[in-house]
Amino acid sequence: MNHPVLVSVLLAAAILVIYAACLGLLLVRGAAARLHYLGPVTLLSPGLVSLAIIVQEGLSQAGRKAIFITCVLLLEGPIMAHIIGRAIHSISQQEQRTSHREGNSNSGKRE
Amino acid sequence: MTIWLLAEIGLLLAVIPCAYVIVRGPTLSDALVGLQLGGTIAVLALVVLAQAMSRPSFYDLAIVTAVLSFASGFMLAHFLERWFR
Repeated sequence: MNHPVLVSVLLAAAILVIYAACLGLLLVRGAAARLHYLGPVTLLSPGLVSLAIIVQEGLSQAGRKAIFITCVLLLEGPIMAHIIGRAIHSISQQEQRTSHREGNSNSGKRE
Repeated sequence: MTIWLLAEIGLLLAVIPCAYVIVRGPTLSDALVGLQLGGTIAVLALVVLAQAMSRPSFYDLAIVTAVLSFASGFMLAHFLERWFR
């Protein structure tokens, strides 16, 4: 089956999702807020691209490999978001502790 | 110029904002997020390129890239956590 219009729509949707995520990445401040934009790119875009390949090629070798890549990205996305979120939280806690310690030592010097 | 080649060009242009965030930061955590996003876009770019050029071997490259970007992102996040401890 070959539906060029449907393939174009699916690819355009995938690209739009990626561009929206990149725009969010540029405009938003803070690593924790930026982390949210990984979600659509790892979940929606691979699915749309794989769907476009399946519409064009059917369930051929290309289609099956595209499905496999989508599954890999679907599994990897939330795990990486969790790992990066934990690292961001740990780093911010450490930075707060360091600045608190410096504040205490400065107040000691004043006395 | 097929729709797949146009999509490929679009995906390659999408890597530029990720590279900007990696370089400018302002923190290493921001760069890590940009790196992960750029890696995922690179995987999709390889998949679309495989379809555009009709080269099935690029799918295998995309699979390897996906696994390696996961492993490298994990190691970098783990290293950053320990470095700041």
